[in-house]
Amino acid sequence: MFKYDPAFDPPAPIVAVDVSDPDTGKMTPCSALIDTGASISVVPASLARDLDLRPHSRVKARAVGNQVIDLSTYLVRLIVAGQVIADLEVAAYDRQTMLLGRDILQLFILTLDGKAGVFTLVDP
Amino acid sequence: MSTRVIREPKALYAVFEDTQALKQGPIFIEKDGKPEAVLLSIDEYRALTAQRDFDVWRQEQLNQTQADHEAFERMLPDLLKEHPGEWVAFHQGQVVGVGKDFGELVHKMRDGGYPTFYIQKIQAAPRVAELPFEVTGRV
Repeated sequence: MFKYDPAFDPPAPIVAVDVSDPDTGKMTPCSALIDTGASISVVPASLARDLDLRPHSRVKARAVGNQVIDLSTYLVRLIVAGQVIADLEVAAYDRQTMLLGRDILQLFILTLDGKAGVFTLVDP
Repeated sequence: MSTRVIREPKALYAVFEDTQALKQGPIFIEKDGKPEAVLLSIDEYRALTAQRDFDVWRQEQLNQTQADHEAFERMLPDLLKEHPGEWVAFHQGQVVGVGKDFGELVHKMRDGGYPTFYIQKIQAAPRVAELPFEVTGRV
């Protein structure tokens, strides 16, 4: 069980993850926001820079202002809630926290209890 | 947030005495009735340059796969006939793998010794990712 992060207003379901480059093994910890509104998981561009990730593909992203832009995507190894996800395709965007999108969340049972300020993310 | 206009040099010096001045919004500096410059708070300046830096970096990243992406677009009509809905991998403008499963194709590329490869889904319309709107502050 995880606690909502009170640093966000209102508090947000944030989980600690480890992101690594499957080619080099270089890893970095990161905070990730559970986000059912994101169809793809997104890492901060600064993280992609730090890990020196290589772009492997691209998607069109509908972002703020309904603007559609091309974003490169990357392959990462993700450790979240004790589970390892190899070769996850993520986009990179100018933001502080990672977004755990529906591509990841569909692999888990997610329960949000906003009233108690806790959530669970369990691999069935 | 408001904007103000400075037309006299003396007024510009006053900004340095008033530490809250720029928190109220940008200050436009006019010369002979024409806007010449803008004073921004450091937070606003960083936000602007961060977006510009990200856009430059984003384009650099796209450039790395541009040749393979263009090859993909050229070959898409034929790929759609033979492998609709599957994934295709390119290396130096050539198709080096096709498969139904994204993960398996990635493994195949690694096992094949390709240090770099471009992988895309074979479908008529480009893949579109939904990213959520974010409120960055109150207005």
